[in-house]
Amino acid sequence: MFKYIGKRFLISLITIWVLVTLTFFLIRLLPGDPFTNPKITPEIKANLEKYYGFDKPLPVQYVKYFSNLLRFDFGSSLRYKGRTINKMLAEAAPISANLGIRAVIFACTVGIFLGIIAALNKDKVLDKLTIFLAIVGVSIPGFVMASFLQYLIGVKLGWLPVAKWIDPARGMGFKYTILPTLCLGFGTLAVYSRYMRTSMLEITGSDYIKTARAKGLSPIQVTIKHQIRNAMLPIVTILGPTIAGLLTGAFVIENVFAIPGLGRQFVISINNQDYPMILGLTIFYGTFLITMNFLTDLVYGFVDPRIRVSK
Amino acid sequence: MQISREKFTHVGINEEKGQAIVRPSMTYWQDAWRRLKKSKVSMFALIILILLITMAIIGPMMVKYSYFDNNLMFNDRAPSAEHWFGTDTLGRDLWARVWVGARVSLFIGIVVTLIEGAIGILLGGASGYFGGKLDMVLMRTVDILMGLPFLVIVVLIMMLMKPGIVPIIVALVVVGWISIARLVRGQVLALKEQEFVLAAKTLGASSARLIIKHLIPNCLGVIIVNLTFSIPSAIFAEAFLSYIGLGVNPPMTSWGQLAAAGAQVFQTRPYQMFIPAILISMTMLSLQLFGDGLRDALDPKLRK
Amino acid sequence: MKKTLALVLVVVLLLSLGLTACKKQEEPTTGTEPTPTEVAQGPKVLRVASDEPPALDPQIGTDAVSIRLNNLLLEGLVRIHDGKIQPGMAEKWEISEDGLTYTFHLRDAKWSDGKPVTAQDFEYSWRRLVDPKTASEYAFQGYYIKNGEEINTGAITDLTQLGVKAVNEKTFVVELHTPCAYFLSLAGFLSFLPSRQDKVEEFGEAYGTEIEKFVTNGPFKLVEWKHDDKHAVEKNPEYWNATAIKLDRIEFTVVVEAATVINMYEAGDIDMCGLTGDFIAKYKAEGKSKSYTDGAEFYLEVNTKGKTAATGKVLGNHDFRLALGFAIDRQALITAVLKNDSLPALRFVPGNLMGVKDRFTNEHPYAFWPANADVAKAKEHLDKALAALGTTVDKLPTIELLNYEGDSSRIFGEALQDMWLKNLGVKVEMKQVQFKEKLQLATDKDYDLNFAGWGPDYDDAMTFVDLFVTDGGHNNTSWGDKKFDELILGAKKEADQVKRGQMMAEAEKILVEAAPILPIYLRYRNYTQADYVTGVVRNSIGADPDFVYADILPQ
Repeated sequence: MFKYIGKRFLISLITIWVLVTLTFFLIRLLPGDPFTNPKITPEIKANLEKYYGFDKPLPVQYVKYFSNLLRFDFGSSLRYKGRTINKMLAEAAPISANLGIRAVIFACTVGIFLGIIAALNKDKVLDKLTIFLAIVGVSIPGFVMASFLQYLIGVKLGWLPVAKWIDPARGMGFKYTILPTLCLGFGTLAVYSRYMRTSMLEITGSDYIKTARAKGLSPIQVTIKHQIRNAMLPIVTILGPTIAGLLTGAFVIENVFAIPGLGRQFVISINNQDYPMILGLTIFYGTFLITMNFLTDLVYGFVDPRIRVSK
Repeated sequence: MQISREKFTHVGINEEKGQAIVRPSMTYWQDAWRRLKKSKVSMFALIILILLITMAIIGPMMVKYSYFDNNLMFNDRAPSAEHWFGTDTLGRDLWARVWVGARVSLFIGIVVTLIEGAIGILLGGASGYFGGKLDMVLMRTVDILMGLPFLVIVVLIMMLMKPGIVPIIVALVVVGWISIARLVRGQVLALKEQEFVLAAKTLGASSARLIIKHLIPNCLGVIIVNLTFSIPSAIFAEAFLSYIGLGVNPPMTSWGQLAAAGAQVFQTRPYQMFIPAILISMTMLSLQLFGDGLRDALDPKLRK
Repeated sequence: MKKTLALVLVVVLLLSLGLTACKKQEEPTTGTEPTPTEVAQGPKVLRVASDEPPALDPQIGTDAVSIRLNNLLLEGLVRIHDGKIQPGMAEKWEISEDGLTYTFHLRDAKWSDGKPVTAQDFEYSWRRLVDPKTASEYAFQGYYIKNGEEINTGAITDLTQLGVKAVNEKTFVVELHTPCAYFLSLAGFLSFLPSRQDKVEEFGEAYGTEIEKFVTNGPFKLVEWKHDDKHAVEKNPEYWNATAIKLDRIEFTVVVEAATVINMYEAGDIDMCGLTGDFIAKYKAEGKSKSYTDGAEFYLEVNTKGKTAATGKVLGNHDFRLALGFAIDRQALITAVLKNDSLPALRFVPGNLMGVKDRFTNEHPYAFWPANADVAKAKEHLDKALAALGTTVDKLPTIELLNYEGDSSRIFGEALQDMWLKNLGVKVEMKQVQFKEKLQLATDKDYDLNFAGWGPDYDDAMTFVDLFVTDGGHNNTSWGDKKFDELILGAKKEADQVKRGQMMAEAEKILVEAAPILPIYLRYRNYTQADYVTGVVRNSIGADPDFVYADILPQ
């Protein structure tokens, strides 16, 4: 087991290296560059390129970037001049993570619960209601959902703040998290409920469920002890990327609710071709994602002891 | 009660009759279709889907307005007898636009889903079944593809290919196959340890046969859920691509674009958003219900 | 049965969602009037939506947010307020007869850390602006100063050669290389605001990235800065003109999404907000929509050499370009698509720029393009063009319109497509790309038609007309005209302001009538603010909005 973990760790490092290298060279292929600006003259652009070392050959820049990276120095932003990527990530990441954890908890618990209810009430009204929920969750874009709730609950009814995020210094607390959490979690919730339902139904016909019934376990015991646990497999599979995605910033929701998280940084960096920031975010997200996918493979073994990815 | 011997006659062993097949022999797929037909909800969903596709073909011809004809003096009008779905900012007839947009969206949604489904199922199945190095390479590719910024992938594809509908499909497939491959891999990892796989193996089934005939049908539940979700996500992804000018050529439109444009004005002109949104929802709803029926019909465990 | 019931239920729910959403619109809006949170006696706090300032270092920053904030935090030699020049750190100044030497006399003023503001601070900052090692994007603002361009481009390496000199602590002398009518207004611009040598050297790149890594000398002090979230300024009691400053505090909240800004305003979280689309009509109906021009003019650039040889032949034809221009219904575009108070551009120089005594456009009245499409004229020119090219409309090569990304740009482009198709029968394809790619394609002249915009750098028509000199850095049209070039060059050297204006007006006529560019509209922005907010000035040049002398009225 430990040997497997060690091997996976090494491979993960290589994967991240490939990711960084690919991103480093690919973003240079995007049309335009960070200093493309209608007001800038070629001479001024040359000064800027010299200042940021972009006048050197790409491989030289790559080596420089990578040697800095090994010292965990991500460089500084080309858009927010003088701010270091390390600090910008350190400022934005906890906010995105805070929102993301809330959304994941909300989406998972409610989504899985609804999926179970739907499966146990197959083809009944409750089942159809969860389908309806799933459709609303997926076919209405997050932007619309967020704008709609913001207008209805924030402006019209005045129950919750319209936008912004927790700030204890200004007495802004829990109620600032409710709408963003709901909106961010809603789509995921819908997806989870559908997977859970399907996977529950799949297992209903399995031999071991029949066995469990036959040996006299009550339907509730069967559901809890056998069915739910085994039905979690697809949920575990999609949970990794979901967590990585939700915790590292959701642009649409952050934008509508003006939350200073990573999603905002990601879009700004792409629009401005802020190379160091794009790379920093890619590494951050990539590392998170690769770790989550690694954990997923380990968790498989707990959900279903027969699974051995490490073989 | 007395039972006399004369009431019985000896018939002997009839080999032929004993082996005769009374009910017609059915393949897996025939049986599935039979069961699917029985499900009223699925059939209703199928009818709605067919209706939507039919409207995409004939809808634009039902009105005298073309989808691109501007009328700036008659813009942003609510639905009326003249314009059944109202007009947009440029005074274009939304009925015509919605059905023209359906062509693009349904085409992209279906094609992308089918391609990414096929790729994802096969690669995911192989990855889970064979494990080892193949699994490692495929899953690390997945990690990298998921980690790369979407826009970077998209712009690169656009640079390599001529603009049009094909690069959109390619871009969506390149990132789309990942989730389904991971799901199928996860399911196969669990299934391949089960007894029926061992049985089939013992009977000498080849790996390809095992994956296609035994493992994948047992993953159909999650596959179908994934595919039904991938259609709307393809529709919205197309709208995102068109936002940065990589979608279909204006003035041609799509549901995603119509919904995105409508979303900007949903407080003042809700119909501009709700009409395309309801159509996307209807597609989703019928796909979900049809998918549910299909899942039930295809589930080998429910086969009688 | 149950299944059908469930299905009906789902459909009903779906419909009801749609209906309730529709219904909500008809209700009259109530209780949305923002109320001030502060009472008259308490501190006066103005709350506004803004964005994160990308760089507060005045020689590094270039963007509207940094300009807006530094207008409050820093003060240059002069202060520009509502288009007028007021004394700033300089109490008074003299200009030499030849208009080349400016002598500024500084007042006693203090930095936020208590040190006095000196002429050496300005000498340092202005040298820093053109120093190629600073890599300032707006270094070109310093090209008006003697040797500014030479230093920035590396022809001169000795910084002290720059035409600025701190004669003593209180006297600052500037030498220009040519007379510049608008130099005083430039002196109040962001790039010429002071930064402090000791602090810049201490913090390096990080100067101006945190409260404690920045020193200020303006009417307000930076008191709170949570990156990407919010920042706040408070009145600086040490400021020389502190009695003129009414507000105690201004709170900036980082909100980018336009709809969220409006929602926050309606919920009473902020005191003013920009209006877009349908909201303009809504607030206009209540008499609460205000508007101002931000000075940005939007026009089509025509690549007279074309993206391909085939389109080059067509677009190189003067009549064809005129046909395209007359077929555009500028007013309809504004009314239907933009829905704001923008004005159709009937000439190139926008109406907000100053001439000698009055607006430039009042001193030199001129209108070439019609506000509405002139289809007859357009067709006439098209026929001439087709005859000259020896072709028909159907055989024209496909012309490509390069456009910005985004939904609203697409709609704008689609309207243009339709006007050309309907009025001329000319088919135009649209290509939408991201902003940076668009600039790149335009610079590379890899386009046929380019929907472009330009904002003024200073309050003078020259900021627009000199864009299109032959082979100029901003001229992407491949168009050139000797007479035009002579007039622009002459105007730049002309010391007589009236003559200079006439030369620019004549050049503008040549440009507009040759039609390598087709002006479309001068952008106006609509906004609303609470009744108790006064004194906020909206500008097309410099800080917008200018909050310096703003006030909150007692209720």
